[in-house]
Amino acid sequence: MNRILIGSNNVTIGKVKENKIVIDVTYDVNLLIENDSFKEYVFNVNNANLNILVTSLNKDKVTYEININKANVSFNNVSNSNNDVFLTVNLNKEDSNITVHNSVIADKKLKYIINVNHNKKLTNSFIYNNGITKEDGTIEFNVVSHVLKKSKGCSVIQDSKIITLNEANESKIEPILLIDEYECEAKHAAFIGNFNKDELFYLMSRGLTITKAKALLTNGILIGTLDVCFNEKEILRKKLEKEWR
Amino acid sequence: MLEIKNLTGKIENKVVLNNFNLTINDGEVHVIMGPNGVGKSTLTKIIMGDFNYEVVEGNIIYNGTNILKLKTDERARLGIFLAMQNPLEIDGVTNADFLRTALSSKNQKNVNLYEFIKKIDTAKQELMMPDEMVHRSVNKGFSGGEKKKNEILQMKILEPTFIMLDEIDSGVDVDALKIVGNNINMYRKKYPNASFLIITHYTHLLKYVKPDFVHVVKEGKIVKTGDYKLAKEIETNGFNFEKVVIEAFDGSEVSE
Repeated sequence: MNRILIGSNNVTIGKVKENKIVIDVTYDVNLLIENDSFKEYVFNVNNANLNILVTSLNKDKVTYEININKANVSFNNVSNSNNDVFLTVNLNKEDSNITVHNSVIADKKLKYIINVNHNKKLTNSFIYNNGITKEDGTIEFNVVSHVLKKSKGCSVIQDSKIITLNEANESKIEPILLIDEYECEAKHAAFIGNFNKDELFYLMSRGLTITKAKALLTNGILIGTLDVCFNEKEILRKKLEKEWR
Repeated sequence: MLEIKNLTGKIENKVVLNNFNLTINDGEVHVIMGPNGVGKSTLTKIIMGDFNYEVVEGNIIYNGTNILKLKTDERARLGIFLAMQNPLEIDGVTNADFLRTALSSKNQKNVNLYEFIKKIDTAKQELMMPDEMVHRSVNKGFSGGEKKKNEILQMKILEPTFIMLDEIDSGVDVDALKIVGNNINMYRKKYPNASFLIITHYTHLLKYVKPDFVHVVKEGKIVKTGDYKLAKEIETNGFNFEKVVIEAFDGSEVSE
């Protein structure tokens, strides 16, 4: 059964069409989207704090559009389903902030195309992508952060990491910063490779076998970094251990 | 007991330890001093089994077992522990998860959650660490002093029998150093057979943890051995090794 769980009564579900859902948020809410069948989501968030957790099993391309008007949104997406994801964020008013955590396990080819538009001054975006490839998996993280002219005082951070546990080395990270305004701060970091040997040594020096050390690091990369509550992390951890390995 | 016999080790084709010999008996505290790049940290990394270092020759025997044949985790489970000079930050892995997994690995069975919480609560109180540090990512955003305290916290939880402290006193303020020193002494009292190998440039920590032996290392080998007085002399003279080494070769004592 496909379902959307809503953490309070403060979310309006409207304009439901086939494969598309529009959610208007005007109050603080946590939103859990799991096992869904929609292919297109639009979130309109006004003067509120919204925390979204998507645990997608969708096999097709999924599109998310998040329009933020003086609000804070934390978008957490955990995927083991090899679907391409297209995410567009529009920061439309001052003091609008987005934090994105994408955690992806790929055993086939998939891509994440993320566009963040800083349309007004004093807007912030923090995009964190973490992926693990196995079997025939490759991941492409393509992130474009666009700061328009006159959007002063913006902060832009992109940080993407892909741990390759397979031989395929076609994974790609494209961090693109389109900055048309001088008075802003922008950073990006990208890493593709195996587990860090120094981290493995550190964990093993406390008695963990290499298998346990890698499992702990995998948990950390995919689940530990998410901006969700402890209980949700525990559920995801168990899922990761039992179903996704 | 740990015996290092004729150990030669290298990293990236550079010999860093050269025919190194040292025996550390149960319950002893040994200190190694020396300027940067003489092989002090290399020694600890080789004992712990770091992948980056290669042993060319020699043996390291711990309680009768040649540990050079063992992997890093196997050495750790034997009771060998290295508090690192620059503890790594591991994003997403909480201290609590890390320690519980490590303790389960050491005990070869799942650790009872209540006992684990009790143990970690006691240890963090003794180290005066804030509660939330246990639930934060390993060393992530920790200050230099907090990282070093976290290394001591791990020592207290895992209860090793041979402990290497690599510059545990660097980046630590006076109050934190006192706490670290007191906790090492508490540990020694609780486990009198535990032995320590302390790498340091200064005598700051040695004011709290009294060493049985102080060794001076140069060019990958011990060139002089003494007691706490030797550490004080080095602190007074700086790392004026030419004088120390020449006197060591003469067999004479360094004058006060």
